[in-house]
Amino acid sequence: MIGFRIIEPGIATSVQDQGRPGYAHLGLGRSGAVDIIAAGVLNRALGNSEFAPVIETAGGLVVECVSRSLIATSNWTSPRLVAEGEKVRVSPEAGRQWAYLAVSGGFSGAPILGSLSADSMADLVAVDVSAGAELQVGTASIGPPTDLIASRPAQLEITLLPGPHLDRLGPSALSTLTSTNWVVENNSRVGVRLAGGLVELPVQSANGQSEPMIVGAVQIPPNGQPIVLGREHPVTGGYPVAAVVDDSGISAVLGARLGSSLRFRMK
Amino acid sequence: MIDIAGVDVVPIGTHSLHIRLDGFPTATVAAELRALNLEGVSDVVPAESTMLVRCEHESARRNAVVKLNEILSVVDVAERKLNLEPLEIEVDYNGEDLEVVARACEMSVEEVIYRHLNSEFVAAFCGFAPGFAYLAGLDPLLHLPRRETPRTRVPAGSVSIAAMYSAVYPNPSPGGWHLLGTTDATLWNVESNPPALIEPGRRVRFIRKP
Repeated sequence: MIGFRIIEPGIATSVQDQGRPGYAHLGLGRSGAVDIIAAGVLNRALGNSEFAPVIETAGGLVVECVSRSLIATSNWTSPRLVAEGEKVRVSPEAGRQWAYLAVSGGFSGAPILGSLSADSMADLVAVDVSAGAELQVGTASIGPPTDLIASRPAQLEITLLPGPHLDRLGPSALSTLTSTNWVVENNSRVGVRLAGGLVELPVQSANGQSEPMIVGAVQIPPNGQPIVLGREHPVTGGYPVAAVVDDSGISAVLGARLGSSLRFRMK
Repeated sequence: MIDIAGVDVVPIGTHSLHIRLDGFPTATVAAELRALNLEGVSDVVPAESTMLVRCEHESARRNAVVKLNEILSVVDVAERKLNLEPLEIEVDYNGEDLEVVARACEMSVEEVIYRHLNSEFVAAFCGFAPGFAYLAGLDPLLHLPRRETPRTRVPAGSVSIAAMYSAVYPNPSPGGWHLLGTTDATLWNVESNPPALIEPGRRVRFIRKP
């Protein structure tokens, strides 16, 4: 069933679910919703399974309802029934980089390797979200809507776990990470670059071998400015990993708005 | 966590494992662990001499350590290769960089081709792009740094070398490797399972297109 039509595609808009685990050894990362917690909150409010496909956007998305649907967006406090012809604008909440649109039953399409998640690094698009595209809605709803979108307390302090390459960094690496007021300088699905301090590297930092990477890894490139790896991170990389964000904080860091500030603490 | 010389297992992230394997064929060990399809283990990713086991919860991590210990305790693990015939990839040696490589290596173009054909490759790991396998085993006389200026677009199927590796570009992309030739083989296809022609641990031999 066609549920929606894209009127304005907005910025960096794509369909996302939990992504596609199991292919990283072939060079294909998992992808998936950047702020998987925010997406899960909307899905649960609609009675969907937590990882039902949603639309993710960095802003400016406008969709038109083609058939009456129950939807939830990051902008509302509860799900709403929208009627045929009604237009819905989706933009991130204050402080967040990504907004989500979820529909009762989930968006549907032909999965690629088990997932509808777009992956710009791998050039995979399972569901077209360009202007004029029509979006199919599935029937995957598993329970009654709860009618409440739980608001999430803003997490200011992010928990880090020590990384595997501290021997390739200066002795002050972790204390710099935990004592600096970091500002999100760049934010994409690939990663989040932080400004506000420089992590110490040895004077003669050896060019590292390729190492397997993981979402939330805090990589230190030669300029010392940390990058937190996002959902579309390369599966292998050569920069040392000083720390890894604990699972509890990954959505918060990766979803933090450009220009927002955050602090780290070690577990 | 594992008491075997050359093996260093440390936690990475909330539930996953980072493993250094000195003197072990990383890709083979990773393939054997992956083949067990352990519950809660979503990815087993080899790189040059380390691998990552992505686990979804704590008991999966504990179980992965036990199984890894079993795999590494087998006497001949260091010698073992995946029990598969080498994959043969047909190459038309028409690459733009053949002459440059020949000059840099101080040999004839024919010798470059001969040495590439006679290298016994094993896919060490994938990265850079989906299906892009780093093939270890390149003849040491062909080891060269990457091009100083990468090309903005390298065609799919380009057979290339850089440092100690050879690789085939699965899709058009920017690239800094030296191009020796081209192949018609499909390296990456999301309609196939597995989607990659070359999996880590797979032996590969290039053969000359007649």
